[in-house]
Amino acid sequence: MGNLIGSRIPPIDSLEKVTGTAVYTSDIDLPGQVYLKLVTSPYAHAKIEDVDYRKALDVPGVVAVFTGKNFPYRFGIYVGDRDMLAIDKALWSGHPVAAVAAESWEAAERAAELIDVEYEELPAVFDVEEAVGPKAPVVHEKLGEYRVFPGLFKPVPGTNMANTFRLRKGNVEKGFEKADIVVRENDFFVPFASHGYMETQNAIALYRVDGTYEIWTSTQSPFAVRNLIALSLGIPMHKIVVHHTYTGGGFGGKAGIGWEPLPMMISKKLRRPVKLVLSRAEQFRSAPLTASFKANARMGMTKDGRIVAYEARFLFDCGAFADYTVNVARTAGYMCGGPYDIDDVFCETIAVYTNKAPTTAFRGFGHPENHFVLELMMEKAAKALGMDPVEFRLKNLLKPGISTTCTGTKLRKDAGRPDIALERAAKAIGWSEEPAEPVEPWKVRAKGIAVLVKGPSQPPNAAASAMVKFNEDATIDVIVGTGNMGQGTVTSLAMIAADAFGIPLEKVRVSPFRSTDSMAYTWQTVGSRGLFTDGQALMKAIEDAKDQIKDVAAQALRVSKEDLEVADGKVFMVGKPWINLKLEDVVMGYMYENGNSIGGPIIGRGHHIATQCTILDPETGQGSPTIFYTFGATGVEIEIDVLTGEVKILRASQAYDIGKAINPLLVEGQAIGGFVMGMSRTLFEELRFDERGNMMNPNFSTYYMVRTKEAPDDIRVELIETPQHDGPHGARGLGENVMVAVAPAIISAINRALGTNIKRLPATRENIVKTIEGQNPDLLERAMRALRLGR
Amino acid sequence: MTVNGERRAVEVKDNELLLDVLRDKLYVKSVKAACWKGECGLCTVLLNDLPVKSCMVLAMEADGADVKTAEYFIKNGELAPVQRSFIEHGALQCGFCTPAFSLAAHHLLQRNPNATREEIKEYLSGIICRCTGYKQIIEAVEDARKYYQK
Amino acid sequence: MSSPYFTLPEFRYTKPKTIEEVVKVLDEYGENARILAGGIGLISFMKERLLSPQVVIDIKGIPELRRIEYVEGNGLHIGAAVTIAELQGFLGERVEIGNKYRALSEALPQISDSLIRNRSTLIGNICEALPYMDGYPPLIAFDAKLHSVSVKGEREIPVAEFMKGLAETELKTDEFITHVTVPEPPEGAVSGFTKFSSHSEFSATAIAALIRWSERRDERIARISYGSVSDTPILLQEAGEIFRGEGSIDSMIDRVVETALSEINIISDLYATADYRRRLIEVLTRRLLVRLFKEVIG
Ligand SMILES: Cc1cc2nc3c(=O)[nH]c(=O)nc-3n(C[C@H](O)[C@H](O)[C@H](O)COP(=O)(O)OP(=O)(O)OC[C@H]3O[C@@H](n4cnc5c(N)ncnc54)[C@H](O)[C@@H]3O)c2cc1C
Ligand code: FES
Ligand code: FES
Repeated sequence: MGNLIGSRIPPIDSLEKVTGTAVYTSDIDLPGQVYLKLVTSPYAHAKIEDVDYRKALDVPGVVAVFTGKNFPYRFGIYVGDRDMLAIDKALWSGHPVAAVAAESWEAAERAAELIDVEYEELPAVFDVEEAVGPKAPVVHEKLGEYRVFPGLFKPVPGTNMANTFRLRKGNVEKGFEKADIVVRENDFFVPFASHGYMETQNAIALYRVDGTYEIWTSTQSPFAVRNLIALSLGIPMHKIVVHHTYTGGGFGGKAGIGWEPLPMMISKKLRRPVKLVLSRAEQFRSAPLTASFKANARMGMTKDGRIVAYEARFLFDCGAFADYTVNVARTAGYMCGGPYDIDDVFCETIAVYTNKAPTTAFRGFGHPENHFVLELMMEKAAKALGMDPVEFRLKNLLKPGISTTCTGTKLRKDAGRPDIALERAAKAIGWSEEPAEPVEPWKVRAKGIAVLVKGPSQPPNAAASAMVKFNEDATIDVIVGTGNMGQGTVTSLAMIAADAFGIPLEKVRVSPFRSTDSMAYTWQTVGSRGLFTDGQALMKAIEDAKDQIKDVAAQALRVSKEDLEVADGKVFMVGKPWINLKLEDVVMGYMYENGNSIGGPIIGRGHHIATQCTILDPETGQGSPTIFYTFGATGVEIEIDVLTGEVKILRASQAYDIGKAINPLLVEGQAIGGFVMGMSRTLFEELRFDERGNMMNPNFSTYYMVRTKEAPDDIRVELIETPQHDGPHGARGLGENVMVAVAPAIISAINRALGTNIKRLPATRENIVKTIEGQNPDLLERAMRALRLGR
Repeated sequence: MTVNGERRAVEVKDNELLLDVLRDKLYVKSVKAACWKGECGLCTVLLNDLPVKSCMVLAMEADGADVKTAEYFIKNGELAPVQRSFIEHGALQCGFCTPAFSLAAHHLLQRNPNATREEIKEYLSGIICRCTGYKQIIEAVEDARKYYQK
Repeated sequence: MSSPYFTLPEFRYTKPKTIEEVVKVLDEYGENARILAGGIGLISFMKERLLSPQVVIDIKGIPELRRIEYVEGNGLHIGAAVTIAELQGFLGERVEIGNKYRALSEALPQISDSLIRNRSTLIGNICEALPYMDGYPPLIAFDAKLHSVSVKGEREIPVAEFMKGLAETELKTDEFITHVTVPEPPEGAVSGFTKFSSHSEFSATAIAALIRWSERRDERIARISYGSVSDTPILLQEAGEIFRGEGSIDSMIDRVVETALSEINIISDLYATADYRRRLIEVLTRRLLVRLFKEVIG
């Protein structure tokens, strides 16, 4: 074994990225391509009476115009509710109703402006509570006909209920009877938000005369794209080739299926390559966002600070497509108890359709949602008990090897240590000391902390595979399916391979290009599963390759295979390293001096399938939902200007038990990036809709995401390494965990500083001042007085 | 127009944007776009050595001008010091914003090799990165100052 | 809103070399011609299809319009093609002038971001005429004057009277601005600028103030200007009288705040509600005035 694992190595594709030579899907042009422009509905809910595109066809350069009538198909991963272009009616303001294909963007855009769509406006529903009521307009009349992932979801035809999930562990009512103190809270709220990845969604498709569809797409999940297209369109999978290259961010928003079917089917009709790139406004208004939710919760504790019962109810606003969000909601439900050991738990999550933009997965997948509620309830409970919030949490955390999670599975012994993560996060922000006095009298400071647990949410049979392909000079191509959104997985995988054969990292290549017809299968790159699952598949592929190498070497060296080892770029006899062969001499087959040869090109293969997962019990939600959990904690110290509501993050900590940090540099990058994204969502981000369901701020000026100006300087990353025995080198996934606890940590610090009870996001400067005015006017008055006396 | 040191003649229409001419006519794909309206900074190029957002510049305005993009430095044989620093600090993830940040930071350090952390943050505040959280970017720029100070 | 479009409507681009040529095109095309200075505003408007001029007149090729000059006694002259970054550089390198026009020096680096400032002009900012244009308050505080020209001749328009409404100005369709002059501030005056946003890139409130304090009441001057809080930027006329009146400085500041809150027609929009703006007006006015008074009387 080499010594690469654990070292700080820059991402292997850095040079290409820093010089801008890395090719993203949006950079690809195919000769003869036509450009697609969408025409979108200005109404939130409307019958499409007629699409008149005669004028558009007269624009020079226009090739064709398509409407929903051309494509009567539905798509989706869990609930197949998506269309390519609105079929019969528009379901939200921004719903694409037609697409223009033209020789240039300019012609396509000019023509799009000339398309007249006649609508009959229908009553629309925007509020989740209203949407589940009996009188609500139904968003999807044909819900009963949609394809649904078997066993996991149950949409209710004739309603807006895309799915209801219930978790019952023990008996929550009995649990509350045992409680000395009960706290409850209504009206938790998190708004619609954008993933904000920098590369907007795009896809280019090429239909070949032999019936093959080739698609280049900015996706996290090439195989899922292929699978879902094949399922909906009835095309054999080998006739669909999905190509994937550098992806300019995904954060869950490019999981499952995207826009691929549209250019693909149009390419078939036009027999030309077709390119679609969303503008930012289209990305905001017409593409899937992250769902909003409302929630209530109740928590019961004994006097000595044991949580005995917890109940939470969530209504997820999925917008017009709940396809992926049904699973977000389900995950929030089965993870409702988070990292705590609670005997009696009840949770209900309902995924609801409304006439707003569709939604999909987002980094954290149900966990930021359930932790926002849970961790703010923990704060409230600690306060009611008069206990220190850290101490209260420590007392209730799951204990590996002893506790059962809220889905009723015993936590494995090597699952990682939530307690250490919490302690380290607390220590890093100096939890035990009071914050220093701010300089200005109108400022206040406080600390906040939150704990989290997260595992990938995936079907129980999600699988991955990997290949290790040797070249003549014993360099290696690692062939994996994992997506490449910058999360660093490919670098870690290359390190694992180089380390295993004891060769320099430069001798290993993981191509940035992946095609479903030539790369190794993996279900999707989501849920922080890439390193864990593809890594395990790779470890097996490495073993397989080594085994093949030893077979050849044993014969060539006339020794027993069991005595051979592969390392340092050689295969050698254990104890007698001078008996060896260089890998170059084995990996393409071994040739004896007389020219006789044995063996052949070495390709190691390996796979991984989640073996320990089960489908959760439909009544109780009990079972084993995931392949690993990663525990962690986020802490912050903040300063707030009471008079303007401006929040400064003075310092932050991110502590995670990731089993093994294969590359700490990349892990830190994830933890820092995740913190800032979480901070941005907590303090700034909200997509707002007017009373007719039109999005009011579909741009970066008014949907503000944190810039360098607000970026905190002091973010401490604490890594704990309790190995998980089946993880690659003991590692667990991390990519999404890093955002989960950020919002509750910041909000609890704000509440502590201000004596308020904020439970809605975002805590913008304006919202903070409004809350102080309502909940702690004295504080504001004191600050105003200090200001008046300031001279 | 001179693009990355090479004279390029290209036919453009009056209403075309520099961004589109660079990407679609000259195939300079390192120049990215994420908002097409001046908000994200990913389309940054050095126009006569000044970083500007090329989605907000008409191609005609760049007639006869010198345009440099992130590829310039490899074509020239050597990375800009700040680019090297980005790599060392792991200051990039998906990489979509990286060319823009490296151009703007390179210009800043050339002009002011002693830029403070606050000045760096200020100068780069017109470019959005959704992945990194900026900390490593800012530190990479700070660290690269020494190469520009001579 | 935000534009779904990548491309611009069609127009003819011209880049004249003299002011006369510009005037001629404007005379011929009127509202179908638009001036392009930095282009940030014009290109945005065209992308959103809010404007589709037939002719776009790039004024960056006219040497006169690129002039920045300070003449002792006359004040500052800023040409219409001078970028905000250039102006920042000018005021930054000449510390004395920069200090003299402190409200402007403080405002410039807070207008959009450094990359946009490398293109956009202060006069373009003024001509774009949206409520949150940060160029207005400092120019109004210094009582700056815009100079326009058309076939009919030249005229001078005080910045304070220039904006009429959303993207509407005093300018006739055949006219354009050649430069702005910022008069020499009164002897002994100090000035400053401050702005604040909640959850957007644009200011929720921007304030510039110029104060000359003196023991003699009739020598006191106060020009306080608010941007982003109402449909058009505002000069708080009453401020001067308040400071020339009786009472302690504290009570004067109180009255300025009261007057601002009662006299300004405060708006609610995407960037902030009127309530929050009221809070900001009070807080920012106090902070700014306190800072300025500390400077003049310690
Ligand atoms: C991302 C972003 C952030 C921004 N943030 C801010 C901010 O924080 N504060 C702020 O104040 N602004 C902000 N802006 C707006 C920006 O500052 C203005 O758009 C810019 O200053 C306009 O100047 P310009 O030279 O580019 O104008 P141009 O686009 O050239 O012109 C703007 C308008 O004025 C007209 N015009 C220009 N010059 C003349 C002239 N000499 N005579 C007559 N008419 C003329 C044009 O025809 C056009 O209609 C922001 C813009 C963007 C894109
Ligand atoms: S694409 Fe030019 S600034 Fe966003
Ligand atoms: S690295 Fe992805 S946007 Fe910056």
